[in-house]
Amino acid sequence: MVIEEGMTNVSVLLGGWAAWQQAGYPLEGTRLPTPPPAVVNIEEMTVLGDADAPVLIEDFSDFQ
Amino acid sequence: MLQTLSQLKETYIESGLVRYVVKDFPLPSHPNAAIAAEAARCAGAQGSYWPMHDLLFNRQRQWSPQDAEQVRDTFVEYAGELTLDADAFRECLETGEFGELVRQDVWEGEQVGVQGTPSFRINGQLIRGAYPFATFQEMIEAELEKTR
Repeated sequence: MVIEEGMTNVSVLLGGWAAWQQAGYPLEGTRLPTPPPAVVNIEEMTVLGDADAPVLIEDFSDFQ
Repeated sequence: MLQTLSQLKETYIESGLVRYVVKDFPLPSHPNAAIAAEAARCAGAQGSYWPMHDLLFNRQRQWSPQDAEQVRDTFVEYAGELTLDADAFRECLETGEFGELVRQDVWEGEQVGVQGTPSFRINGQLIRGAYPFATFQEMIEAELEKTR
């Protein structure tokens, strides 16, 4: 398939990324994968401080 | 309240003496309060609850009088300012992803006697109204004294 695409120097398959670049082949389609979103603890997002703190303040808020 | 929270953070939260939990209690008389609570949590889903929390308080005068559609757009703009994924944020708001959690907080508040905001519980003791840091400090020190 690589040869069908016009890339005759298939030896780059053995040389990896460095050989691919050296052969001057196109770099399109080489975008790095997007990292997965950070895992957020839904229960803890509104919390500040240690779980074993001796004092617990619950703030019943209304933004408006 | 932001200033008091900042002092609480510096004096007690960062040193591990206080755990501070925001419970949403949007009042029915404030038409945009529930969507604001959800907006903060939608930002939280992207790791930015507290920046959005602060922004909502600081810009209260801007979004408070807006209608439902305007306020949603405004919150999406805020999400953009915080460099969040605005599309994901809007979807979160439009689908009401955190509506149930907000309603659960309201139910919890009602069970412990909360009727208005601001209200606080300090180790289970309910205090109603806004107080300066010194008042919190006094109550926290009294609680800490019990553990010494």
